Amino acid sequence: MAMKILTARISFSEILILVVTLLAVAESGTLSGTKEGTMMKDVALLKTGIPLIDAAAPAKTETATFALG
Amino acid sequence: MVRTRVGYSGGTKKSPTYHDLGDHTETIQLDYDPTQISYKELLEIFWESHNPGSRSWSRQYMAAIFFHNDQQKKIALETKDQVAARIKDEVYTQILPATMFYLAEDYHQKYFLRLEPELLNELTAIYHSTQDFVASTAAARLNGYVAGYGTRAGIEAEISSLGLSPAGNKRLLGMVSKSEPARPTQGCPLPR
Repeated sequence: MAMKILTARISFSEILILVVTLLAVAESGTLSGTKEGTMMKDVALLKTGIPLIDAAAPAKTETATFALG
Repeated sequence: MVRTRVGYSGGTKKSPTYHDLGDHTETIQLDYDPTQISYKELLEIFWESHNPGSRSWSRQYMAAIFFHNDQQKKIALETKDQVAARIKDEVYTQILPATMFYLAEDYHQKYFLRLEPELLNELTAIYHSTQDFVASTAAARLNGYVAGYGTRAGIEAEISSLGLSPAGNKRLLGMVSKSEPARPTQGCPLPR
């Protein structure tokens, strides 16, 4: 019943503005969350002492073996 | 370069050591990211890093490429032909299949980094086992930087990812000149 009343009182353009605003907030939140997440991960790694370059080492590598005399 | 390690390979003796090498050769093994550097580019560095026209008088110190697959073999043979054409002489560097690789003793691993106890201790405080220490990209990079390879700009770009303390960072930066660092003049690691 409350939903029905709410729908009736909001115009199409208001809904559009609301959706755009929600999308903008969601995007901003996501970006902020990602950055924050990365920073939190970095801080966590720093706390364990594992160098970031080791934590970021590629999973797929190839091997080469040489003898230089 | 992701990881580096030195060891013995190419022979038949089981569990060789520095003082009992058998028919093995002293080798360096690299794990690299093929999206960052190709095998051919590694070979270019390899050919520039030794004298292929010089005959090796012992199997321990012979120059060789140990290929791990057919593609590596093909590229190795192609580049060997190119080097032979360039030096207009016989190339003594061997192209052999990679066999069992035996990790050398701890004191041979990351040799140049071991000459800098201040930096070494920071890494070994993180990696208590030799296996983890040898497998560390940070240790490999520091070993190269301490040996005089890399550029100051390159070091500055990644120094914060090497896991060093502020004092360690300062120590590392203090070791490299403002310009391109010189190549090392030290010889091979000596056994204890």
